Amino acid sequence: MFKLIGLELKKNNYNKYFVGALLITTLLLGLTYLFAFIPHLKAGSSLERSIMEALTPIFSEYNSISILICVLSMVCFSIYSGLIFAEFVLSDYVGKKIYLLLVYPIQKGTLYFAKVVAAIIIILVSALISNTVVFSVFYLIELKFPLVVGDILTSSIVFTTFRTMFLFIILSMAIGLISLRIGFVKKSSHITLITSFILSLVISNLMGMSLLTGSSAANNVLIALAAAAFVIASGLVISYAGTVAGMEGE
Amino acid sequence: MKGEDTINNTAVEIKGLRKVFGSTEIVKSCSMRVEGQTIYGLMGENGAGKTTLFKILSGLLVPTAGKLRIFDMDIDTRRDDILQNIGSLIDTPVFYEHLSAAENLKLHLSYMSVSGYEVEQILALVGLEADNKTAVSRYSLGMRQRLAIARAVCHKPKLLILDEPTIGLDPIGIKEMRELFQHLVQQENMTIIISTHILQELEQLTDRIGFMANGELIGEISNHQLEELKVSNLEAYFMKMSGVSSNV
Repeated sequence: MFKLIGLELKKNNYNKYFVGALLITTLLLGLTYLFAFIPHLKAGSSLERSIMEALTPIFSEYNSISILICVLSMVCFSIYSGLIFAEFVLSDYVGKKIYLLLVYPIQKGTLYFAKVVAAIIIILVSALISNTVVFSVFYLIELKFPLVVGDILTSSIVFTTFRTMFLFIILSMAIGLISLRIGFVKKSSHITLITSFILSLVISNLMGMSLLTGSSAANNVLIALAAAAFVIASGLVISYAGTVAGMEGE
Repeated sequence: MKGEDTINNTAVEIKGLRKVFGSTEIVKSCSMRVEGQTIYGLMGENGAGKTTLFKILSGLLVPTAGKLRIFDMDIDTRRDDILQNIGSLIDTPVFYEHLSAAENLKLHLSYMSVSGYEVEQILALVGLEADNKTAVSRYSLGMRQRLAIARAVCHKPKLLILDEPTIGLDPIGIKEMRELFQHLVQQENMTIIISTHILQELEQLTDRIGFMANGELIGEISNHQLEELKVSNLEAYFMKMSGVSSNV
C-alpha cells in the first residue's frame, strides 16, 4: 500500500499543486493584514463612517480575524481538494485512462484507496503548511509590531486559532471527498469542483456567522460538523470501493 | 506465476466465452486455444469482437460466461498472477503525458512489480532514445505507438496481446516491429496474439490465424496451410469466411 501511495505521488505532477497552495497562502496572508488594517482607515463620508463603525469591532479582535481567515481558507482548500481528488483519483477512471489501472496486477480497490490516500496527503500537507505559515507570520509580527490595537495576543488566542484552523482543514478535506463521490456519479471533474465550491459556500456561511457571534455553542457545532463530515465522507469513499472493483475498460 | 512451467504448452485456452453489454452479445460462445511460443493472428471485420476478446484476455473486461485459462491459471481465481504475465497494446495507447518515455516505463515496471528489461534497452529495441526527456504529450503518433509496444514488452511478459500494433508506423517501423515480435517469440519464448487488417503482415508473422465474425471464432488456418497460400489467396479466404464474394 505504501509503495502504491508513493507511485501515485510520483506519477502526478504535484509541484503545480504546491504552487497553488503558495498562491492561496499569499492571498490569505494579504487578507489577514487587510482585515487587521481596516480599523486604522480614516473614514470620510458618513456612509464610510457607518461602515467603519460596523466593521471595526470585528477587525479589532484576533479571534474574529482568525475565524474569517479560517473560513476563507476552508473555501479555498475545499476547491483545492476538489481539484486534487478529481485529478488524482477521478480522472484515472474516466475514458481510456482506466485501461492503465486495469492491466496492473493489483486489486482495483487497493489501487483506488492508494489514490485517495495520496490525494489526502497532498491536501493535508498543503493546507496545514499554508494555514500555519499565515497565522505564524501574522502572530509573530504582531508580537513585535501589533496592528490589532483593540486586543492582546495571548497563548489562549493562538491555541483557539490553531484548533479552529485544524477543524476547518478537516472540513475542507471532507468536502473534497464528498464532492469526489458526487463527481463519480457522472465521472466529471467539473461536477466535483462545482460541488466542492457550493458545499464550502454553504458551510462557510453557516459556521462563519455562528462563530463570529461568539457563542460558545458554535465551537461545539464546528467540532460536531467536522466530525460528521469526516465520517460521512469516509463512508461514501469507502463504500464506493465496491463499485470500483467492478469497473471495466469498455 | 512468473517462471512457472505451463502444462502441455498451452498459453491460452478459451471455452464458451461470452461477453454481453446490456442486451448486445459482442462475443458469443467463443472457444480457442493458443499454443505457447507461437504467434496467433486474429482476423475479422470491424465489429467482429476481436478487440472485446483482446480486452477480456488482457484483464480490461470480465467475461459474462465461459472459461478462460492463461498459462493454466484461471482468470477468476488468479487474475493478478495472470496480469503479471501479460503485456498488451489495445486501442489508442494512454500514457502519463507529462512524463518522459523512460519515466513512463519505470512507473509501469513499478506497478507491475517486476524488474523486466532495462528501460534503456527496451527503448532502443523499439527505436526510441532513452535519454530523450521530452514529455510524451509531444510525441508523434508513430513514437507513441513505439512507446506503447515498449510498455507492453518491458516487463518481459509471457503473453503479448497486440491489437493493431503497427497503426501510425512507417514501413521501416512496421518491419522493425515485425522483427522485434519474431525475436520475442524465438529468443524470449513469448507467445503473441495479434490482430491486424494488413494481411501481408499476418502472413509473415503468424503461425496460426483465427477468423472472427459476429462474435464467434468461425475458422482457423495453420502455418502449414498458410505457406501454400499467397496473400491474395489469404484475402480470398478471409472474404469467403466473412461471407463476402471476391473476384480473386
